[in-house]
Amino acid sequence: MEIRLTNLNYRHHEQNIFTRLNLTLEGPKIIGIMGEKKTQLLKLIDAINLPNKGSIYLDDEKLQKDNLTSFRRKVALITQEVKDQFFESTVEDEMKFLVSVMHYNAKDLTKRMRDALKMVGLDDTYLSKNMSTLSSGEQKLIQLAVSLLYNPKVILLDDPMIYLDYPRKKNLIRLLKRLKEKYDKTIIIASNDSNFLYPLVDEVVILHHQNRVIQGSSEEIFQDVKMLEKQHIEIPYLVAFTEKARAKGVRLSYHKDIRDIIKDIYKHVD
Amino acid sequence: MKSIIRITNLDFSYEKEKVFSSFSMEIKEGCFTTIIGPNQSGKTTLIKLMAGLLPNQESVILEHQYIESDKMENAAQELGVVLSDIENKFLFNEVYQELCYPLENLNYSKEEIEKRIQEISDLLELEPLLDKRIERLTSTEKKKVFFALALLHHPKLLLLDNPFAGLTEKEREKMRKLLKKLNQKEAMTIVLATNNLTDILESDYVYVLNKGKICMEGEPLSVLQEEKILNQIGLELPFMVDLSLKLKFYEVYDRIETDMDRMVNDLWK
Repeated sequence: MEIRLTNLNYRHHEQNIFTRLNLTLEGPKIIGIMGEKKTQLLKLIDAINLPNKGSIYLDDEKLQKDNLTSFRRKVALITQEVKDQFFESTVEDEMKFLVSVMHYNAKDLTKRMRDALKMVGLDDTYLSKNMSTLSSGEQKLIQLAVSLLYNPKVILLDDPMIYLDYPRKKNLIRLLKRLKEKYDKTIIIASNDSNFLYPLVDEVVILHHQNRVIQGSSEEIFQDVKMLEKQHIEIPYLVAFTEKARAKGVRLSYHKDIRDIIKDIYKHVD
Repeated sequence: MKSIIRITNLDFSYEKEKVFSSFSMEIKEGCFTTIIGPNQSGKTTLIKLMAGLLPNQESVILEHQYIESDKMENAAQELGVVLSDIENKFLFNEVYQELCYPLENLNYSKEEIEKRIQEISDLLELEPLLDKRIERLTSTEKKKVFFALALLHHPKLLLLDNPFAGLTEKEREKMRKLLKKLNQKEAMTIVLATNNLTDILESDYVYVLNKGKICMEGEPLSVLQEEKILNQIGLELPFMVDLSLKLKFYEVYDRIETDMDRMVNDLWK
């Protein structure tokens, strides 16, 4: 799956958001989007907002007014604030409603709903729960479960970790990895949380200014401390530690897991 | 040590929602106690009950006296409270006026008021804020003023609900050290409610609260060893605490250090 934005102009509230933006995202990968106007970019890829100029391609399909539905079915957006988006009262009704909106006819819908809930770490009892009684974190997971029902190729998540507690965070990270590895999904995460993105993503895009983009692998981006400082992006703790040790002449390597850095530290102390 | 607050068999609900049932807890006099728990574990309710801001069936006792809102006048002099929702609770336009008012109410003389405000502003580094208008303060600065208001009248007991929210790690550490100082030098009893595990480090005793129940209690270090339980109830070890504990396990490091520079300097001199 390839997402390609070419010469994209987008104005919103009289403001130039993107000017001649060119960006290619290739999947299956987990890609982090950082910097300004992240949400705006996701909404363009999800075809909620349309560009003023330029084109958006999913593989070779160009986004046009007459293929919006087929385009949208290939892309799912998990928004940041979810509460006001629900129309139905129970989780089951909400899921059915959203599937019908996507003009998607699924066999064994109830069974598939159960499976989808299970994947996001929620059990069957959620089907009959009232949407309005769920926490923001749970609502976000339901949104993700719904999107899994119509099998999109691209999943966009806008700051997914807000409102999730620790066990749910862990669960979501596992799920995202599995969606990429087993189901070849392209997952795009808008977030400025370096510590969350660094060990998780394959690639990072920093939206700099209207049309400037810094793109690279997780290592290239998060280990470039000078660039991060310039972009006002937090240096991941694990990188900062290695940097500080190296400044003392200790040849510590870069690590993405705390257990690995522990082993490395152990080797380098007397 | 005798207890300053004793909660016995407390039942408490908001309309339909039950928060505590037969809940008991003791706060020892002179102790720095932290109550840690994830969102909706009951922390805020507990602090409000201790402060006499919510009604209960005489199950919250402050020094042999039942705390309730209409008998608060006596207790109020002994209590300093910082609640988490800090907006819109100032009475005056300027910081200095705001700080004078409670002392005037306690019949402090003009000299005493000036002296006390000086002490407090030295303690909390408030000097540059004193003649500022409240509306011009940042949220961190407002937080400091609330701290000052809670401490002005030399309370015996300081109750704090998530007072560090929004502060950077450096500021948090400073505030924790300050609390420790108040606790040790002025023998102030402190109850701190928080959802950040770094905050428990300076305290003497920790209660871990989950869904209205105490699921663990003890000294900070012994609580932090139970990573699994903490994770299960939704608490994440902060990076530096996690790193310290793991290095400690391998006997590479001997304590919990939250400052990365200091740890690196210790490891490689």
